[in-house]
Amino acid sequence: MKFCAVKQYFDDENNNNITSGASTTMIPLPNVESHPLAILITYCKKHLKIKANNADNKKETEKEMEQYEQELLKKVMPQELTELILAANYLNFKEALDFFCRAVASAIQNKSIEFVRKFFGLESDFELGEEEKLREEFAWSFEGVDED
Amino acid sequence: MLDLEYLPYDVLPDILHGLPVKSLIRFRCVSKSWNSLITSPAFINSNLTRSPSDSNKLIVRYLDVICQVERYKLIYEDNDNDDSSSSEQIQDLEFPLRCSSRDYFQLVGSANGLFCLHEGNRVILWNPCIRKFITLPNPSFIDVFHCYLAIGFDLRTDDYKVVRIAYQSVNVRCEGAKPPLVEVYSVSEGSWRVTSGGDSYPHRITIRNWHHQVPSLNGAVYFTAKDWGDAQSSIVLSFDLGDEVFRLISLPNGKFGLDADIRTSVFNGLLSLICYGYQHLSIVKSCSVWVMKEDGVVDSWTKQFTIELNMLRWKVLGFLKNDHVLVQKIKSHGSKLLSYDPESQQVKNLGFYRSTYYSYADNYARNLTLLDKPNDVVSKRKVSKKRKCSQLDATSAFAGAGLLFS
Repeated sequence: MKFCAVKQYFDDENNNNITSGASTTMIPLPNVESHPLAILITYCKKHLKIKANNADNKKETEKEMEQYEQELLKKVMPQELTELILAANYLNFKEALDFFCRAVASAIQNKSIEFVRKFFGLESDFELGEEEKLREEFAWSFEGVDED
Repeated sequence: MLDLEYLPYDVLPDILHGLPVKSLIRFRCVSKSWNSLITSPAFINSNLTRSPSDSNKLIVRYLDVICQVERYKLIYEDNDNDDSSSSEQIQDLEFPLRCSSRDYFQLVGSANGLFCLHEGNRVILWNPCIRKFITLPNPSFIDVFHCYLAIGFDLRTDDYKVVRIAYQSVNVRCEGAKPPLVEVYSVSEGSWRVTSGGDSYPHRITIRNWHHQVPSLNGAVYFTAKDWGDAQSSIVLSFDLGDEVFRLISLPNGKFGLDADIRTSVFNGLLSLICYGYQHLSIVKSCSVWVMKEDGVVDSWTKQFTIELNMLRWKVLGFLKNDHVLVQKIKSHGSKLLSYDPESQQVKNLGFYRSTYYSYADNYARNLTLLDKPNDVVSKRKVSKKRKCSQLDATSAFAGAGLLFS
């Protein structure tokens, strides 16, 4: 099951012997906004659909998922990625979490230090000369970096 | 802009594991906490399994006889051309060291992409992935008759170790010979430690005196050896990096005598033997690959397949992830690197190099080990002592120069 947090909720319900005759149950998800949740639900449904379509063919599943993920990335703003990661993490939805982490990695790879700091809202907290020393030691890793 | 403050603590490593090594190294400079995280043993260890693998890259070492240096290259396994290097498919890896006494270092082996090289008592660990090397401190036993080295990965402690076996006697094959002195270097400890491994060293067993890289598998290293006792045959000697004990692994009865040309290797995650049969001296007739299907069960040794190639001089360098065999075809004016599919028996050309001697080729493994170690200072050797590399014609150079084998 994908939304493990939700599964946990059902399991807990069963353990407490609460018989639920209704086909719809309201599950409280206080830490998830509606917008990222909608994206996650769509992602989940799509994943299950692709998996069902391709039955035993793992490679095909992976290929189709990759294509879908590429399309999805085009529609998602970098700012939304925090919310999506938080939501996927809270819901314990591993595949989506992995995907969004990979998306962030793609967004920052080959970029400059300054870009990354800006992206995450960080500031340098190195002591005087510490950063220069590191830069010198790994000067080769600064070659060919994308322009900001 | 991502608000890192609100991201759960364990999400940042998940993001970082997806980065290429170059970016990862560079991002050490983002902040102090990023630097701590990236150089933490936990992150370094998990990166090996968690980051996307460069599954179709190979790292190749060959000896450039003209310039008398060893060279390392990264090539793509799906490179399929009959002429030499197309530049996108091949990447030069800078090798930062120079041998002081010989022309080339001896390659001890590699574990998950961490290379171990030595000349005499000078042992070096080099990680081409992060372009870093360290020189090991001097081992304890210097004045020894002969010593063998191997590098392996101890699964239990997530630690890379180098074992050094020093023979005290000239005639180890004889009854009553002194046991060897054994010491182990651990990367995490940063020092050699003398062990009582010699106590478990079996009698009348000699490690085969031929320079081959010793493979490491499941926390142990496996040497090809000879049993001069009652068995009078070839045998495999293992050293477990965890409990530091020697063990013998017998080979199928009567199949591998004392003069068998065999080499231990790893095939598909199992201990394997590469065995050559010769027609005359160095002309290879065939090569069979044996696999030990069940750990510790001698009867489980199975001949996996035989390679018969219509070539005079060739040798197996190792196995690819898809079970194809890496073969070096040796010709007078250079070597070809080939991949052989045992099922279809198809041969694919991976590249041609103007050197008769490949030393090593294996799947490229992304590894961050040594990232948290202080940088070794490269001692600059006087370059004038060595012939500077010039654009000599390979054929004419070979006509004059002797061939070097190490």
